[in-house]
Amino acid sequence: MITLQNVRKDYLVDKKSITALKKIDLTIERGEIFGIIGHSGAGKSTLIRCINLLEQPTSGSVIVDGKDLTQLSQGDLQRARHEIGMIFQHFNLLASATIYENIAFPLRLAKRPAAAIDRKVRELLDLVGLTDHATKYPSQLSGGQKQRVGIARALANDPKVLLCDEATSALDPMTTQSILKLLADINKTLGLTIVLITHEMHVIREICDRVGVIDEGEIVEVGPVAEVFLKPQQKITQEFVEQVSDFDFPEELLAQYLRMPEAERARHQVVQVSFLGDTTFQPVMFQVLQEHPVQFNILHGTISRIKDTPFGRLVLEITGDPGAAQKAVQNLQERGLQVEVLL
Amino acid sequence: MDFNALFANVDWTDIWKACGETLYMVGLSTLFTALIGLPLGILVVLTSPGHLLQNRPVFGLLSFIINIFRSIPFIILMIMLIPLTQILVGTSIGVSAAIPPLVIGSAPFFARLVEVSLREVDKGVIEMAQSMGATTWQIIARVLLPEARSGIIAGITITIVALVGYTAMAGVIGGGGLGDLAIRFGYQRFQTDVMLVTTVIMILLVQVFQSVGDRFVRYFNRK
Ligand SMILES: Nc1ncnc2c1ncn2[C@@H]1O[C@H](COP(=O)(O)OP(=O)(O)OP(=O)(O)O)[C@@H](O)[C@H]1O
Ligand SMILES: [Mg+2]
Repeated sequence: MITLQNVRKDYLVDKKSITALKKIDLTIERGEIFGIIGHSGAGKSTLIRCINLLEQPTSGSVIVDGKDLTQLSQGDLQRARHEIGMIFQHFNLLASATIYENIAFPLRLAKRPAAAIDRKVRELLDLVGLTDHATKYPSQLSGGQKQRVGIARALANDPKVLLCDEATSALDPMTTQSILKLLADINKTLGLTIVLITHEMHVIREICDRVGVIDEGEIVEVGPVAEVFLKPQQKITQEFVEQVSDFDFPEELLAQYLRMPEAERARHQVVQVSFLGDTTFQPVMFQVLQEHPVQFNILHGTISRIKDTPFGRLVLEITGDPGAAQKAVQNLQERGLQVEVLL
Repeated sequence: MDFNALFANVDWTDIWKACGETLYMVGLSTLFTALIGLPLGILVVLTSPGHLLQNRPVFGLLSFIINIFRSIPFIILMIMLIPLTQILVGTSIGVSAAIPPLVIGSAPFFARLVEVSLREVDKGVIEMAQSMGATTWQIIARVLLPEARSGIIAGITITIVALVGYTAMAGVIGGGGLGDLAIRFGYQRFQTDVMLVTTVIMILLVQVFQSVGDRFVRYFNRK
């Protein structure tokens, strides 16, 4: 749906060139929610603004729905932008216009007939749950309600792509949840491709299908969210994953094993098992336990979600003959669980 | 005390005539000031660095012209413009002859006020409109002007009040009006009562213009 090829962006500041994006190659599939995460100044906003050419790349091409936007005339680009909705961290609503008029704004730009505008605006007000607020002004709304107006407005021209620049960063956690849920619903019901940028990993975990990690103007890691969570390759990715890890393994538990007499220690192994998806885990544990002469003891664990998929991480103590314990670990791995031996 | 004795020198028909002249000059010159100053202010903002139609030479030139007209004292401007007035109005004396210098003196001032209020429009909102495929015209008509509406109205109010003051100098070219009356009778002939009456009327005029303007600003301000 969106392909960035070799995109580079330099800014000229005081006659000196600053490279915001080095060489971005990225493909975003139709219908997915793609998240881009990075620290402040990494180039996230620049990247997302290159997708609708609010920022003209210094070189490279930006292909959205088969069209290379960098090759379009001004008029064609303006028409192409009707198909690309965008929402903003600070909402960017027209303070002088009612909620109704704010949502009608892109429809008026596209010169739709009045009856069609009215129908569409009412439909969108209903979709985002703001029908009762149609005649209010933005200053009379809460942050979450303002972002709902922003979303409704972005959807007015039935875009194929929705770009979200830190859409929830100005909102409290509860409101963030409801906005993310709204985005996920829209993605499902309308089949809309969503690109969102954020510096918060929990946003990625909540709704994204795939994630790209950007650092100093480069995409350093891309993959399905679950995979990136389970096996982060880069250091920066690991840091982001730790942001949301509710998995605080008490280190003193390990120390306790280290203090054991050597012979006793050999009979205990501590491993960390990670699993994704609900169906496989419990039966696998049981089967392995039955097939090997060892005992499991759960020392620590959490179960959370990555988008709609449960995701768990357990620390197990395996007691038994060292050979048997090793075989049990192997068996767990063979059955698709990720096992890391801690001790 | 006898009212008529107190204002012995005041000829009320003269006063009313002068009132009419002042309102005529202020009204027409406000209209033309807005017609020239508004587009000028918009153009200055749009051509300024980092804006939609960014263009250094045009911006520099407009800015220079505005500064020149703003730095010439009105009374001198009025005399300098006599040939132009002659061409535009067909005469260089009288109430109508005061209008071109009034407009040329206040349009650059108003343009600056427009510029200031347009610059206060949130950059993010302009960007939002661009991201939705708005043309430059659409951004002017549907974003910049509506969002800056209350600031522009405040600017018009300030301009009207300044014009009331400028018209007082129009007497130099036979423009008439309250200020002229005050200078010719009140000052030059020491008729303190005429001075008092004309001044009070001018104060009242300014008060009325200002409070009506403020009311509009409050009505349109949605922030
Ligand atoms: N208009 C601009 N002019 C000059 N430099 C810019 C401009 N916009 C961004 N930059 C620079 O480009 C780099 C990337 O900025 P960008 O805004 O894309 O970062 P970001 O990842 O969105 O950060 P944040 O999380 O703080 O919003 C920064 O070094 C920034 O200073
Ligand atoms: Mg940013």
